[in-house]
Amino acid sequence: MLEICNISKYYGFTAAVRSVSFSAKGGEIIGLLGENGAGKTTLIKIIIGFLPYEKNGAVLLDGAPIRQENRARIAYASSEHTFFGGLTPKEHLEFYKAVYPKFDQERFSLLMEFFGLPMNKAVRHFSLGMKNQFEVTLALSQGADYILMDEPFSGSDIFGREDFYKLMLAILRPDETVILSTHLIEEVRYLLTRVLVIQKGELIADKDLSELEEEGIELTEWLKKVTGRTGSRAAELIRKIEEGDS
Amino acid sequence: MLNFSELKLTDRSPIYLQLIRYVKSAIVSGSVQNGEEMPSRRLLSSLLGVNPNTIQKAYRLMEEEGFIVSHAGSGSIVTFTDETAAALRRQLLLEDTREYLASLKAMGLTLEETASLLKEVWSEEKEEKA
Repeated sequence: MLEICNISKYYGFTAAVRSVSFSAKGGEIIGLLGENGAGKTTLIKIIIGFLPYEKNGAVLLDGAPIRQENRARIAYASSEHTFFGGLTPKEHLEFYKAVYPKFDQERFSLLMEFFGLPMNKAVRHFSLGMKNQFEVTLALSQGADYILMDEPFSGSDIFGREDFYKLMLAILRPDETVILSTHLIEEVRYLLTRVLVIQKGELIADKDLSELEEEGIELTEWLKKVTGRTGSRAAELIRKIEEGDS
Repeated sequence: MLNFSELKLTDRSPIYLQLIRYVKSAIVSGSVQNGEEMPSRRLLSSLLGVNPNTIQKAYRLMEEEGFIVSHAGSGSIVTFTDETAAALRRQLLLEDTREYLASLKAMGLTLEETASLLKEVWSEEKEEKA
């Protein structure tokens, strides 16, 4: 289990993330949803250890803090890219195999073939879409138990994203956990088992989607409600415009 | 193997119910044979882009209703008799009729008005075909 306990991050007096707590267990496909700037990226970077957090919080993996020994159990993919631009996929493969003892070479080859990526070309010469594909290939092949993806397909087209999600469902083992940060809710709503909603740095909702389904509530409607975007703001605006006209 | 490529998911009802409905319709329409294989849960999850929990729930409920049977290691098959297919047909017809009537009632239609509306549209269709 991955536990995020009371995590906050301040820049000066401004909270980028404020008192966020949740835990993720094996097999969940969790959507981290929120507008651009809500704090999704900051939160993910804290979880993977790229950013420090305020003192009274903790990130725990099966009860232990994340250190050198267990860091490999968390993988990360982002459209900012974490690979080495000067290296080819073949060179990445050698490097990752050396660094990650559980690196899944079979899955790596399968994904490389699926995406049609060349093994012997430096990654910096890839197109943006190919770079994104290579980024997620590495993250999914690392042999991690928790795979965190932060808008991994910025700049890819919708068909590329849909194909990837379907591929991911085909290859994930039942105990692997995915946390996917995105604002493209329509595309991932059937894929997810649970959603976390982050707004202005705070976790404002945490919902198991099978519960929502039982309650007969559609995800986007529910999101509008929890984020306070019920359409009344638009109505208010129209009323003001009309008042101004008359 | 039962082909799910015709299934178009909507937001009108839970996904697992749409999956179950699809299999039932295939049985009623004769597009699936008794003993035909279901896709594996993983394959169906990937084909539809639907999370494995939802697929698992649909399979479990179909097992409970008795029209698919799963064996460890060898996947699931669709299983029905003429009688169970007929019962499913009636079940689907009732469901559709209830849904249809609920929308007519919401518009204030009486039974008589509904009946005459049905007759009217029914004869329109006949004329079109003729």
